[in-house]
Amino acid sequence: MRILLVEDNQELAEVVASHLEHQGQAVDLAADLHTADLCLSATAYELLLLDLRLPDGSGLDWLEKMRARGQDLAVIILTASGRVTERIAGLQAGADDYLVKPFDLQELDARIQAVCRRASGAASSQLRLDDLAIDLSARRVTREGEEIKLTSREWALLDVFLRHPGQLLTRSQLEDSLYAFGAEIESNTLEVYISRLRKKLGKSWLETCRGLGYRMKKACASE
Amino acid sequence: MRKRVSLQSLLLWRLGWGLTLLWLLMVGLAASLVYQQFNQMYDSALQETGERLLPLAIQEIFNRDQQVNGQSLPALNEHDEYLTYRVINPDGETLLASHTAQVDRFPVQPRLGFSQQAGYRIYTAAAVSDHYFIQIAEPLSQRREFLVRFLLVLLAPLGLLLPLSLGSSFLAVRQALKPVKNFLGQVESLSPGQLTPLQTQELPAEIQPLGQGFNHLLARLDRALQAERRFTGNAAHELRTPLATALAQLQLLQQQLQQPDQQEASRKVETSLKRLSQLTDKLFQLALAEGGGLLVEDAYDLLPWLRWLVNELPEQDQQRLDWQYPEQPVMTLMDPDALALVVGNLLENAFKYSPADQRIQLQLDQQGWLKVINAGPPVDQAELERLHQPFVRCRVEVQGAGLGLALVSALLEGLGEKLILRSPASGRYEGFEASCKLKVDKYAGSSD
Repeated sequence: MRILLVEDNQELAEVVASHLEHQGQAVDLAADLHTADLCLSATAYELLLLDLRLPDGSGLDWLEKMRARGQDLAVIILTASGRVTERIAGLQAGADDYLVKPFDLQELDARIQAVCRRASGAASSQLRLDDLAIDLSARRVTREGEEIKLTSREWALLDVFLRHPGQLLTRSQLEDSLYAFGAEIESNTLEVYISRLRKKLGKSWLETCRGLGYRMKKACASE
Repeated sequence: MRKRVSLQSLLLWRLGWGLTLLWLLMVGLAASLVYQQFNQMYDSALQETGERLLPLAIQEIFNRDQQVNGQSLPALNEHDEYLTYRVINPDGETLLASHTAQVDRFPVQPRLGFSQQAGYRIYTAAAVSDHYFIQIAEPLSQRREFLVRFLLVLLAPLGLLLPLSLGSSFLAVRQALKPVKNFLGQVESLSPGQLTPLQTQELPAEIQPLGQGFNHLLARLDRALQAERRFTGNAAHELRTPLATALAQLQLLQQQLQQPDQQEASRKVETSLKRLSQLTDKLFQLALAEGGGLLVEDAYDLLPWLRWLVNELPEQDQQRLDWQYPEQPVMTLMDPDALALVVGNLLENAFKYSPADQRIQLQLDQQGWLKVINAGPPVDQAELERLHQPFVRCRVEVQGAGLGLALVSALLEGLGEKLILRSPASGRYEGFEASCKLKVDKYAGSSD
């Protein structure tokens, strides 16, 4: 998943980005609203993590303008204010959730998953894909009760497909979701990860559309 | 305590009394002057009469056929005799007298000029080388009667004019004080959170500086409160961000630690960091609660906010909460952040001190009474009193800074309300009950 983190405190931004990258997410950092605008115009993000007090303006006003422009990516506000009014103002401005600093990284993960699940329209965090049981919250895949270990990058790739079930995803879309700006991508890296995923999860769930990209069959919510 | 004096009644009393006294003084002076002039006029008339009568009386005595002392002249017609006289010789023997003259009215020995005796003004004149004296007497009661009539004539209109002038003074004073009263009305109707300037244009020039001074004071207070709030907000931001960095870095590090002792040490650091974060949070809340700005100008329904606050509780806490609220909106003037601090801290306290398997009651009624009840061993009265102070905890084994209830107490005090703590809870043998009256706008939403 490609995430844009807008945070002017470089140390906090780097440590959060490092954590998310460790989870297999692609994170771009923007220290101000101007950079954030440039990033948003350059590529598509699935999630925006937004601090409210930024050097070149209020994150809240910027968010309102962004929503008014029709950008509907998921937004989580990272606020240092404990005020209820500010939190509600954030939600009214178009945020999907908020997190008050200081926060647990685990809680950040949980919020990101919940928000992205809601954004993708998935009702449950428990999915079934053929004989696979997928727990989005625990980032776990099992087959007949047996856990299948995935690396964070493999999970991130699976996560992209799970959020776009039945959709044809091009190679560049997949690369954009997996790699931040400046990341070095080998020409066949994507194929390597897809091959590994197929080896671990089976071949039937993912269809290759030659010259176009890949399409995952629709997963269903487990009962 | 000294009774407060109303400026209006003070002015009215003083004006009323001053006017009355001045009027009476003027009447007294006029009466005294008139009486003096009147006395001179009467004396002059008495003297003139005496001097005219004396030759006639002497002629009468000389013309007598025989010397008869004490002869009383008969009246020609029946009449009241105001002036009486007698003619005497140097020995004081009466030679001639008017028909109602009584001897005891007159001095026995003749004394020339004016004298007074037995309620009579007497004039004595001499003739024929002091062989004959005339004494003419006029009753003083006549003069007094004149004075009384004169006073009555002066005082009678006063009875009408005085109430009239007092009434008009009352109206004038009330009219003059109306702008002052309007200004005071504005001051009295100021809500604790309202710091907007008051209208001073109508105030009289003498009071205008006071009104403007009051407005300047309000503006300074507003600026000071805003600065304090800004400082609190900035300080919270500045402290929370490095705390967030430290916590995130530590948690990132924990993911790489392999040794159990290292993991244990890092968990302890994490706990301390979280405690520091909570303490900082509470201190800022306390500063906010004591800093004022706890009311908003427009009333709003607090129920959606309360629902939102309850929904923000962790899932397991929501499961343990029984809450009752009225069906009608409860319109409040409390700042939503202040409301969140009260509800949040009372609930946090209840969840912290209640046994994990017991339920928590949250109740709100139409009048704005909020009650949070939790189970637990009873707390004695002295301990309950101490819980209003910061850094006091009921049970040391429970984690916390002991600031939650102090914070709510300070906040409510700023709103003119009180936090009431009871243990055992009402109608129970155990438990703890915290209740308070939220600032409800009784006028808002009361219409159909």
